[in-house]
Amino acid sequence: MKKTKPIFIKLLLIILPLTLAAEIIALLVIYALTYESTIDQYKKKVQLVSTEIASVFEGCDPSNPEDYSSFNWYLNSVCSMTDMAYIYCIVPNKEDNSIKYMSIGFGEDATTEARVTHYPGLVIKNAAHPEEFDAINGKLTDNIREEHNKYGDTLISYSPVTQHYDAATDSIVKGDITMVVGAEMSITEIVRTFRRTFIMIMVYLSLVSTLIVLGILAVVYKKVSLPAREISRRMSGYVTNRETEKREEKLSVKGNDEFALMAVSFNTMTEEIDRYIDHIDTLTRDKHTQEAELNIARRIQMGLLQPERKSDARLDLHAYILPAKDVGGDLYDYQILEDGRVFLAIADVSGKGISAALFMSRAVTLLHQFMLTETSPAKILAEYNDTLASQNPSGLFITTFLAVWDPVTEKLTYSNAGHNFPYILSDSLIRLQGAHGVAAGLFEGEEYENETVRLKAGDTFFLYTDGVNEAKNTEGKFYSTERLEEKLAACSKNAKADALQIILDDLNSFTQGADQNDDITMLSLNILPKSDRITLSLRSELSELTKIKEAILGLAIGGDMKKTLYLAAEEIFVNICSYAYDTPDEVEVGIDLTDRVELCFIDGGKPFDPTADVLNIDEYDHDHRIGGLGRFLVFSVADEYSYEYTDHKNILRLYFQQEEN
Amino acid sequence: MTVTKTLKNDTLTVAVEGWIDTLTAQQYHEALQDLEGAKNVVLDFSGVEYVSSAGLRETVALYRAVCANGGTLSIRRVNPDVLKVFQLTGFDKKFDILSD
Repeated sequence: MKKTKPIFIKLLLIILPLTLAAEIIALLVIYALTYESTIDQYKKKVQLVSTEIASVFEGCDPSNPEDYSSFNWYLNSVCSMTDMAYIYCIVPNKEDNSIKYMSIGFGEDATTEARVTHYPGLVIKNAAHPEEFDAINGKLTDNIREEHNKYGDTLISYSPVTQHYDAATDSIVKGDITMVVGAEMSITEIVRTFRRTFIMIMVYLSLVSTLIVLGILAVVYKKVSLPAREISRRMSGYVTNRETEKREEKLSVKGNDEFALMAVSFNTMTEEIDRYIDHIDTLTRDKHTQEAELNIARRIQMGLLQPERKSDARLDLHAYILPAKDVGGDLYDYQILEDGRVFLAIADVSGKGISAALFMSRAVTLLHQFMLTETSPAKILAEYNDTLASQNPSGLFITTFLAVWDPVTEKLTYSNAGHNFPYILSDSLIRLQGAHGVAAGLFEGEEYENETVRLKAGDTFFLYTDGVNEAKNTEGKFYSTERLEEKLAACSKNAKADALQIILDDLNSFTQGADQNDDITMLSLNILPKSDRITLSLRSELSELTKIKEAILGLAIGGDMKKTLYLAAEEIFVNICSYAYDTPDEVEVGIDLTDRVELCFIDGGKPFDPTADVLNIDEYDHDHRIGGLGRFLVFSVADEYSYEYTDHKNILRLYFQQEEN
Repeated sequence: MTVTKTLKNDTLTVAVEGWIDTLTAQQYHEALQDLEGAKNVVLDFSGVEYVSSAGLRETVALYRAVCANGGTLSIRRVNPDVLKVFQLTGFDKKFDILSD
């Protein structure tokens, strides 16, 4: 930071020269004016003297120097009385430009040299002044002038002697002017005194004004600079210092000037800042708590949803959900029932945030529960709507699309409560159609309709919420249904299974990280091409039964058939686990649906033909535990069977007739 | 699998839900150990979707235990898939068994 230059120094540098310059100018003007008026009175005096003395010589005859001799003492005394340096009567001669002194008087200021060199009767050639001739010729307009000569500053006045005595005629001659009276007064001393006085005045005035300016600036320093520095010191680092330092006392408020006002404002400001910062601190703490709580809420909410990936032999489910805020109002759900049917749901609560999230939690729990107890999507939606609507004080609603796919019939049955219709990616892109029921949660008693469409192996069912098509990019444009359909149509050509990922990538490249306005949710169900053969490589341990059960339940066959198959598989597998090996080893279980249903078990254990010595049920002793009941069941439910021991392996094949659908 | 028992007078009603197979047979077995002093037992099979030989064996064991005590075992509300297994093994003739 630059060093602070006090404001009073700046003011000093401006005001002081200005003041001094103004004083000098003012004094010069006054000087000129007073000089003139002072000198004027002397001029008048000199003029008066020359004029008066001129009349004295009216009775003298210029041709007779004797007439003038008696005037010399007179002129000396007049000089003394009137402070003149010289008074003289001269006769200028135009022909040789000379002057002749007729009479001369010296005053105190007369120089010694002048006293010696000037005397009555002296003729000085080429010394006449033009004014002297002007006086004789009556042309003199102004008979006073100021002259600075070797004797210093002198005032000179010439006056013509307008008549003279002519001894020849013994008469007074008028009009023929021959004599001129000059009076000279030295003003050197006067001017010098005058100037000295002025210089003294100027010096004193400058000193006084400098002191006054310094005084004013001292006041400015105390009243402006010091308070400004104090306020500035308090302001700088106020916010950063307030944590580490004890809060300083308030600025003292003195007087009622601008700085007092500023101090009051500063105090008010610090109070407000303190309050504001305290408020922010509280808010920040609250926000952290709230964020932590929202984080938990989000985990709970996401925990209500099924995993994002689910695959088995027949299908591949893929879900994606991204709430716009910490918690969201979108949901997806699915259920794979034991009979192989697959329920799918996607929904979008009006609104976002906590209220939507709570509503969503309720909705997803209800849907999940209804999927297990009811088979018709329309009925589920109706019941779901009634339950939600019966307790919905906030008036939220939820658009919901619900579908169930039957793997045996390959039919997708669906019902819609105000949601965007999903798509089937088959040979081409198909947008589902049908009744567009009222969004759930608002009105009890709404009814919904079921629609049916074929969803066959190799197809993909794609569901989404409007957070997808209404996603905005940084320019505020929507992703749009058109773009979504375009992409999905492209996917239906060659990338059905990857549709969700492709849409997601395209969506991200579109939005470019723009703020997300709404929850984005997508759900895709890929029906895998039918696999006619399944081979399970297992260990001969009972816990592996679960895998056999899953595989059989996932088959695209009727529910009864599944139970029959599993019954046979369970009994044989338990047998192998119990007898084939001393320690658990490999067992291969094959399922083949190519023609009729075939179950095949291969183990490398002890040779054992399970088809031999099957229990005769009539001999079964209910009262005593005997073995063989399981094997008996297997060969009762299997239509055909074969056993061979080849290559050190027990190979058992069981055949079942597919029931007609 | 869930098992719910209700005792009324000297009759214990045992409602079973789920699959009774090799993996759940042990649980079924344990549930049937304590008959709460009842003489007669009614098995409510309305929630049973599947029974394999392991389930049959445990049911037979229960039958023997009840008979030894001078009581009767009835199996009620059996679903067709399950009934078929009882029929295949001829147990339907031995037990007092009724479908829905």
